[in-house]
Order: sequence, then structure tokens, then C-alpha cells
Amino acid sequence: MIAALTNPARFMAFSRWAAPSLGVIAAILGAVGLWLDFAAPPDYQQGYTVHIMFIHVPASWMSLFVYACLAGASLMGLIFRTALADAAARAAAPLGAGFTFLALATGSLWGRPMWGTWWVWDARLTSVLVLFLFYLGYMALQAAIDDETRAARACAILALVGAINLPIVHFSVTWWNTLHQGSSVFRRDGPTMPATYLAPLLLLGLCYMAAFGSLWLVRIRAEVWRRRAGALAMRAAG
Amino acid sequence: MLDFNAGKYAAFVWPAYALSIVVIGAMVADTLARARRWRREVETREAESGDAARLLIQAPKAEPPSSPKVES
Repeated sequence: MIAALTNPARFMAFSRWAAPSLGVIAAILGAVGLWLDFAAPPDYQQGYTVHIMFIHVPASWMSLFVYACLAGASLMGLIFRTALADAAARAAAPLGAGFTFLALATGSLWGRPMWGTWWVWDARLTSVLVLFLFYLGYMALQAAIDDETRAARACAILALVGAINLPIVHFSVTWWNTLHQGSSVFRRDGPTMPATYLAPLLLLGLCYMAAFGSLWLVRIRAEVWRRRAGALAMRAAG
Repeated sequence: MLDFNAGKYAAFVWPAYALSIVVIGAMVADTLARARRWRREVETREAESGDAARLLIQAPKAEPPSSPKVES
């Protein structure tokens, strides 16, 4: 499987049907998830702001998951020196930045009515902000270095340094006393929320995951084409 | 039954959804535009290099230089 996905020709053949398939799956999951979202009753504590949770929590999951993908692709790029791994890392960064921005913004829109503040410098919020800055830093570094090989290597090292932040984000609510509540889905003793809220949350989480998968594959395809266009331009020039 | 009432929190709920739609929509649009642009670029360049290769193949062979006439 990995060998098939490190070969650009095989990857293009695989992604040609996988990307639209994941897009269709995302659309179906999104439609059902939103239906269950607006069919759910208001929470006894949060009231109607519980609807924000159904889009905030999946965006937060994706902010971590996409960075893990970025760091994994960067590690593969550093070890195996495959152009496809570099392309995968480069393609993941803008998507991760988008999801992390959504996590921060929707969290802020939930926090204002529930906590009485748009922002607080607690461990979870601050570590997610640092994650967002790592995404921006990755993209800025990529754009700042003209030599693609050097840029990929420098960005891969930056991505791996930033990966240290992932467990900090995840465990921040248990390591420190934070205003942000702890995990209520992925717990050893099972989720603490009723099925009426858990179902739309998980469906929208899977929707975001499928949407990312689809967009990531398309962006990697675009990267492969961009490099191919560059190679053709070089051949035509020389 | 669907309930689109957000009560007194509407000013926070709907901007959160609007922002999500805008950001995810922008990610989709940018991704598709990027893919379309580079695929067309490759197609154009491949067509150009194909044309150039065809021109090289079809180019008439140059006439061998005629040997200078020797005055007797």
C-alpha cells in the first residue's frame, strides 16, 4: 500500500477515483450529520450553543490529525527522499491551517456566551494557537526558499519540531488546570455525552475527515502536476 | 423534526456556521482551482513539446550541399 502510494504514477491512478469518492462520502456524512445536528434538542446547560460544538470539535480533531499527517509525510520525505512525501506535506499545510483557524474561531464564538470571554490564555487555547502558528510558519518557510529540495528539508524539520506540540495540545486539559473542558468522547470509560449529541458529532467528524482526505489527494495531484509542468518547462528551455 | 431556532445565542451560532461554510468553501475552491490550473499547464506544455517533437520528425531533410563544379 505504502509502496503503491510512493510511486507518482500509481498514486495518480489511485487518487483519480479515491478523491471524488471521499468527496461524495463527505457530502453524505455532512448532510446526515447536519440533519441530526438540528434535530438535537438544546443542551440543558449550553442551550442552543451546543450546535457550535458539532462544528468546533471536528475542526479541533482535524487540526491535530492534519498536523500528524503533515509530520508523518515530512518524516517520510526526510528518510526516503521521495518527492511524493514532500508534496503530501506541502499539500496538507493550508488545509490544516484552515481547520485550526475554524477550531479557534468557532471555539471563541462558543466561549463568549458560555465563559463570558472571547479568549483566555489557558493551556488548551494557547497550545492550539501555537499549532496554528506552526502551520503558518511552515507555509511561510516554504514560500521563502526558492530551492524546492532545500525548502522541503527545512520545512520537514520545522514540521517535526512542531509535532512536539501535538501531545501538549491533547493532554493540556489533563496536565494543567484549564478553563477548557476535558475530553468527553475519547475516554477510557466511554463518551460522557448522550447519543443524540454523540451521533451528529461523530458523523460531522467523519465528514471533516473524508473532506480532508479528498482535498488532500486533489492537492497532492496538483503538486505532482506542478512539478511535471516545471520539468517540462525546463526541458523546453534547455 | 428540524429546529433551526438558536434563541438568544443566534448571534454566536449562525456566525460559527457561516464562518465554517466560508472557510471550507474557500479550501474546496482553492484546491480545485489549483488542480485545474496545473493540469492545464501540464497539458499545454505536453502539447507544445509534442508539437515540437512532431516538427522535428516531419522536418524535411536538408539537401546535401552540392559539390562545387570544377572548371576544366
